[in-house]
Amino acid sequence: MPIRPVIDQVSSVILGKDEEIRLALACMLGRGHLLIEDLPGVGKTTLAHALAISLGLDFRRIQFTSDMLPADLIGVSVYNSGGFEFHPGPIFSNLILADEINRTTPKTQSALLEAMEEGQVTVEGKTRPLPDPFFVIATQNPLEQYGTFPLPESQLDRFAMRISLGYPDMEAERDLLLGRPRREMLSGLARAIESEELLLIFGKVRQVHASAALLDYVQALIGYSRSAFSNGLSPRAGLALLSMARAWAYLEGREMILPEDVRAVLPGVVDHRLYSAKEGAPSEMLLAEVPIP
Amino acid sequence: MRWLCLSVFLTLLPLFHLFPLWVDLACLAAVIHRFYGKWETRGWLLKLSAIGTACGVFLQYGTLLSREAGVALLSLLVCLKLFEQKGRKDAMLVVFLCYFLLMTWFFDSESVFAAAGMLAMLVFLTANLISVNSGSSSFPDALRSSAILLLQAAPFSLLLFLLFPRIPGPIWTLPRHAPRATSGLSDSLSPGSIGNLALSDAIAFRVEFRTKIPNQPDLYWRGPVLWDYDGKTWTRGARAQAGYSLGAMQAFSEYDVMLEASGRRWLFALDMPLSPPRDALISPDGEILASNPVKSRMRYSLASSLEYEMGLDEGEANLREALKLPEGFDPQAVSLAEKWKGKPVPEILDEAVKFYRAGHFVYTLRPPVLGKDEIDDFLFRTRSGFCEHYASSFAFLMRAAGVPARIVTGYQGGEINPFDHYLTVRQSDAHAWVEIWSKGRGWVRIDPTAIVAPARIESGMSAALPQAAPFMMRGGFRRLRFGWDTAADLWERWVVGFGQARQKQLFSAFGMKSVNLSDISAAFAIAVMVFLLLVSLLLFFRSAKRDRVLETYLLFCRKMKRIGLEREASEGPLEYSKRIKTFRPDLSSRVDGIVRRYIMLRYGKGASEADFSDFRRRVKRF
Repeated sequence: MPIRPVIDQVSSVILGKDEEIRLALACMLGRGHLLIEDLPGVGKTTLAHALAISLGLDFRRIQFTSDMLPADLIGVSVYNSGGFEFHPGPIFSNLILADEINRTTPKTQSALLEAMEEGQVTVEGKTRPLPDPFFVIATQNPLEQYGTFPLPESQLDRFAMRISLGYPDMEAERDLLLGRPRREMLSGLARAIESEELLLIFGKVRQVHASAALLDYVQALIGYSRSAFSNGLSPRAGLALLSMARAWAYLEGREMILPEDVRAVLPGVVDHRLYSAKEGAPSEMLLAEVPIP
Repeated sequence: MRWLCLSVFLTLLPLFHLFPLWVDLACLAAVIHRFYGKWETRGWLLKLSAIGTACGVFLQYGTLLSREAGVALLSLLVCLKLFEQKGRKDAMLVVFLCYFLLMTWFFDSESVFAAAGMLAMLVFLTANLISVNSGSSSFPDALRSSAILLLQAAPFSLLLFLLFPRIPGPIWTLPRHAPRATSGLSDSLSPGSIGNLALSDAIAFRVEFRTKIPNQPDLYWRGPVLWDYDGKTWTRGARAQAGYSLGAMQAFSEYDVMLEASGRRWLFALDMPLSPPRDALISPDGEILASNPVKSRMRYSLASSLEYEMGLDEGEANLREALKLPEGFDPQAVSLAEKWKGKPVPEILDEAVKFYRAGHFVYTLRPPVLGKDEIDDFLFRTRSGFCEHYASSFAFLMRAAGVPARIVTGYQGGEINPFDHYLTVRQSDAHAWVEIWSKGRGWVRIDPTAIVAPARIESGMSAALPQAAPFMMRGGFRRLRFGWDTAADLWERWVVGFGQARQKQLFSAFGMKSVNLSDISAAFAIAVMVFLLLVSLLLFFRSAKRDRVLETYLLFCRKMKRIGLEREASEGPLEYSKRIKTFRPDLSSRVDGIVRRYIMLRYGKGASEADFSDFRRRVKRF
């Protein structure tokens, strides 16, 4: 499978996180944006960087700060000998890493999120398309809340998936300590897939079959979330769930979605969208309570 | 909750007048409290109230099992149930009890209004049921879907109405607690007794003539015949009974009478009936008596002769009765009549008519109060009265003049309904007249009212006393009123009266001549069973066709369950097969084969029939 080398290469950098890597990759293959929420230093940026290099994508990293303005992201027009010339900002890339997205003001967040939804930006009345494919991998730190602007639900909903990496296990940690510095490894990476092939894969993911029985299950999940939670899953969430499941099925080497694929991506897709007063993640409840029709 | 309170209130509304006041107040208090209140009451208090309610009803009615007591108890308990609302189940219970209470409306009235009200309530209650169960939809939405649902059910209910086997006789055979008060002609006559009726536009009976409708002045509907006078009241008295016979009959008329419930035995006939209808007998005076008091609308057929001779050979004792006067009453009237004594009967009549004509008598519904000597007072002082005054005084004068006389009460006239051409006789058409006897002519009808107010006989009550006519019978309302009478009659005959006989008629109209109740029941039961069978078969095959893959997979799961590996409801096929393989590695290849095919059939595309049979074969053999 042509995507195999990508997985292998990324997991050689991020050790012991095969599941998360696959989820992140599935998110990208399903043409969704990814939010990584975790403590500092567990490898969020490294993961994003490694994915970008392996997929051969044009990558920019933006460190979000509280004094950042939309123009810093999108770009500005500068007067230059006889006319205004547009200097594109870092957003004009295939993959951008929005680091610490909750540190910037809602104004800048909105500029980014608009771009995520529309695939284009409007600068000074002129609409400019963003490169295709366009992915955003945003990170945020869940613990440090001082001086942050948490993303509202409407903006969280734009992220197809949210994952967290977590600490590596003992064995992986030992390997990490023994191994070369990650920064050095990243600079040694090369693209593991050609861009034509990547486009082909996007097409194949879209063609993964979702049978009526499978859609019944997806709808049962969505319906249950709407009755059990104060804010149920939106139609956009339903679409995201389905396309993430497609990508996951593709990664599993199947041409049709199985309930297992939906279940695999479900925590990433729904946990940042639902609020549960009870203990445990909302997805656990959905997984346990909704029977597979 | 508020809608629920409202529906309980509306359901009870038409029943309130049947209950004693304390039941009304208790129900209202409970409903209003729940409408505005928020708290749930304690369980023990509720139980205590329920027991107290039952005791109260028992004390009131002396039983819990009579119709009224049962309805009152149920109403009270439904109101109490409003205090015990923990979930959907309780609300549904209240709604179902309301459906039941709705049926009890028919105890009180079977009119079109009751039925229309019940239909509206049916929509309302069903909307409650919908909103209780859907939770999210607003009440107006629920009302709309309830109306649509019931409309869809309408053809079925019509079919059931027509075909459901009828039980002969009224369905409410429970004992009545108190007799229903009805207005109508009584079997005695005193000043004011008919005057009171004249204000009522309630229908006494309706007549369908099979022959030409007689002229208005001939429409004398004969009721009780009164012989005994005590100075104040005329009563029937007791006399030797003889046979009923008529002579020299001419001008026959045939008709059907639809008599409204009166609570009395009198059946009214046009002067004079030839023979009594079925289940009735006729007295020598030509009164027809039903064998039982008329408690529901009844229909009977009669033939009458409009010109006749009656009582030519009336017995001596009876004629003496017809001359009796009370001692010491009305000396002026007696002395007036004594001047006429001994003359031939036609001359006496002439004298009397002259007397009435000369006296400027007034025909009025509101006569002045009369003293002890009522007839003297009327004839010489007040000179204004209603038909009972004229009949009474005329009969008195005749008796005093030595002419045998008796009073006949009944109805006079009636109006033709322009819609169905029935003659409608109302309570306001109640009338009293006199019959005098003379040798060679027998009993002859004399109507003294006609002397004073000819319009009353020629064109009816409303023409004679327009100001006294009931409001609804004036002007433009008349037509409306007649239209309504026709509608009520059709309702009565085709809906309320749709009993066994009419059902049989309907069946025979479709060529099923001799069917009986058990045939209908059997046919009905079979039809229902066949229908249900068809529906269930249809559902079965549809689900089988759609989900045969799933069915087969579930069979596989059941087989696995037998070896202790039950599938979790939320377990996908791959996870399941993985778990099976962990516990039973020996089954690996076979389970794999099955699950792979299942996945392909159910989640993949382009699976063929062969794949399915392969899958099924593997599962079956497993």
